[in-house]
Amino acid sequence: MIQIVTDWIFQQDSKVIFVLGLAASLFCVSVFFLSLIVFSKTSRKRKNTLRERYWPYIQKNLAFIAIQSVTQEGSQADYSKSIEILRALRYKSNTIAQWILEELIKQKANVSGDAGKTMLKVYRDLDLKSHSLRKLKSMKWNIKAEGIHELERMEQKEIFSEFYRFLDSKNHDLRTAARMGLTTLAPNPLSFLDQISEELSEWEQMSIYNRLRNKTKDQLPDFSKYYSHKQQSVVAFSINMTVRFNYFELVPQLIKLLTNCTPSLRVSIVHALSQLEAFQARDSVRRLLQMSKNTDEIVECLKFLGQLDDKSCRHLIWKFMEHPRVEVRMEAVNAAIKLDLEFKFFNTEQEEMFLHFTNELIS
Amino acid sequence: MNTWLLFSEMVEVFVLCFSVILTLCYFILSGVSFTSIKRYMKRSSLARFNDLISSPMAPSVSLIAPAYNEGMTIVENIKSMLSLEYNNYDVIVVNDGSKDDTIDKVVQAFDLVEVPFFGNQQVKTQQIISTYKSSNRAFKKLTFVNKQNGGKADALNAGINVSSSRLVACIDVDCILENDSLQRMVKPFMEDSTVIASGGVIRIANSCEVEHGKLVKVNLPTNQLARFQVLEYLRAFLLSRMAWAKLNGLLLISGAFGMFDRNLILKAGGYSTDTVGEDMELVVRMRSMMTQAKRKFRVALIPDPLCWTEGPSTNKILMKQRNRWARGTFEVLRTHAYMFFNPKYKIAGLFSYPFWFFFEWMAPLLEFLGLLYFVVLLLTGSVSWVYFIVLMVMFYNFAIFISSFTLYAEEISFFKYEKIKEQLALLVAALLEPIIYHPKIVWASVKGNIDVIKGVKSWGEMTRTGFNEKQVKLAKSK
Repeated sequence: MIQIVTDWIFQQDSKVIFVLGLAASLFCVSVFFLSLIVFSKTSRKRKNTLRERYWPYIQKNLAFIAIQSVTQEGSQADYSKSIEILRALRYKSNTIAQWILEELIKQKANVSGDAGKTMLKVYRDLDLKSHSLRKLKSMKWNIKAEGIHELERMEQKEIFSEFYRFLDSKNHDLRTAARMGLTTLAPNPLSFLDQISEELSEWEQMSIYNRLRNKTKDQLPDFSKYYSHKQQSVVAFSINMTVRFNYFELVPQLIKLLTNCTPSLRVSIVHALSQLEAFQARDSVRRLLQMSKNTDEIVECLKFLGQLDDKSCRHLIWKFMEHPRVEVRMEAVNAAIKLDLEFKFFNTEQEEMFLHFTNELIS
Repeated sequence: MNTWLLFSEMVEVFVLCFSVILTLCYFILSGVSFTSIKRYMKRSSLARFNDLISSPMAPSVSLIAPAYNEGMTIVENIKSMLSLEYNNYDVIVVNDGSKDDTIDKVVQAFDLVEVPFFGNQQVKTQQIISTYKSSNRAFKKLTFVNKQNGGKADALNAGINVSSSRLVACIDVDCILENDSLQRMVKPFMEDSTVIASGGVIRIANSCEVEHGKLVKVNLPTNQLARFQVLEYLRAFLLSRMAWAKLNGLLLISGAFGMFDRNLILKAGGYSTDTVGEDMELVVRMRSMMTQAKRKFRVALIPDPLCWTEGPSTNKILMKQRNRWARGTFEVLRTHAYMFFNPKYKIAGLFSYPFWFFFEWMAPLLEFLGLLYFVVLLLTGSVSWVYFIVLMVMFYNFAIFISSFTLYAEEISFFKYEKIKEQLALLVAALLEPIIYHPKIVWASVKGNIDVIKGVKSWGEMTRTGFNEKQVKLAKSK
């Protein structure tokens, strides 16, 4: 049969053989992918079976420990019994150890106080810390990042220095994980900022802020330290944090910074001054408004002036009601309304803007 | 006779070269797509999306949904849009001169009152007749704009004018968004300041269970035509667009769900009202604008199934939709022909645009011409049957290769069709598609190109049957 097929193929001309070869290759690749699907399904099924078998024990024992710690009922013997069951499961395989750890992290996130401490004790007693630490030595970036996340969530403060080596990683996600880990665990949460030279993304800024929110005021760093950072995003972030944590004492430094930075940073600074209701910045902002040609900057300055209870800037505000950019005109009208200036409408547009800003449902 | 032989020879060589290049391109794209999906899955498992839900640092987003004669389901759809898990967003529904009871239903359901809204006309649109806000605090996120009919692009532009958010998400009002869709779409913008637009993967929702505008259970469509579209959408998003996004050459973000930097859309001049392919045209124009301004940029794609839409379940509607897509593709490629093999536009000019030109726009036309050529050969009795059969087998295997890769990509990533029965049905659909479904798409594309020459500009009525009977009955009873 093979001989017949081979003979037939060699009788054909070259283009038929070429197309046939291409068709056969495509067929083989398709079969390869379909086999991969079957393989993936089989391994998933096996994993699910394993999970169905062990998962109830993991959940039951961890829930039991959590409830015990909350109700303060149950003895040390009960705790030891549950830990023994979990320990037996933990050493069965790495997959099961991972499931225990995931469930532990989930439960730890939902509890606080004594129950949270108990979860940390379980982490130690099951030696899951070594499981997480081993991940830091993996060749794969995602496993390393996973290890950092676990150590961070289980508050392993003593190993924070391990994360510094990942700050220079080529992988962006691993670098981010290390930064977040340090924010949570290091005594000085933003110490890593001294070392970074690339942009601090908005996502990272938000993540850092979420972690800083869990700290007490005395644990927070001096944000003004980063006002002179070479990376603009770090400066913008520190300005933003100054506002979020209400550092009114840093207003003089912000005003000083206003005269010596890029337009985008000036927008952030004026916004910060506005949020901090820093009236002492009035003259600096007025000067900036008179000189600026940047739309965002002008809008932000007008917002700032709109907040002041100072009608002396009415002429300045009126000047911007005829600005070529509509967003500037809108903000000028809004500022005039906020200051309760008795201005007369020059045109219907201003009248429409007035109605817009004074409508309760819109504002 | 010699001329005819020479011509035949040339056609055969051309077909061979075309097939080899096409196969090679798809091999490369599938490789790129595979690594990209794998990486996304790893990254996604590490990200804490929940942080965004309550963060005051989450960027503001306006969800803009144009509506035209959507009275039957509009209330449920708006309720669904208002209940997404995101901290800082508003919903702008633009009624594009509907002739049905869309306004009355929305005004009544959401306690809307007319407000003197000042929307700056940064992009020119048809006149806005009235703007509404809700007097009920529960719906304070909603703004309803009633304007004169001007088409989908015009309605989207009106919404962009009304918005004051940093990002705008343009969606089809009848789509179902996943609860975390905004969190996922916003992430690329927050991670990389050069991202100008981000697209979501669209999935077919026919036969899925929908309650109160939310998808509660994913099912494979029972309708065979919709089933083919499931495969087609998976292929388009998980294989092609995912790879192009990774290579930074993505030219199309589906109009059903895309997120853009509002300032950049305004700078680009908003959606074009001169084409029926306004979604693709905007992305190409924004790319072009950024390249000309010599600014670094990226167009991202999120492979998560974030948006579910109802695919046409009858041949007639499918043909209309694909006719429009073909016209849109042609119009966009014609408008931006300057990008063709233009090194200034880098990947987009050297690879994406030519790929769209040869393999998306021209391939169906070539297939049709190939058929005509075969008929001529048949009539003249000069068909080389062996070569013909081998060629057909090769094309068939090519289609199976793409589908099998797509099914594998789905298997290792989102795994939405869990039942073995559904997966076998998808496999059967993959085997039947080249014979049953593909010829229809080719014909619709040919007709679309003929219509474009004739100057047809209309969208065509897109009748929808609703996601499931329960929901439609519910809406009707109201």
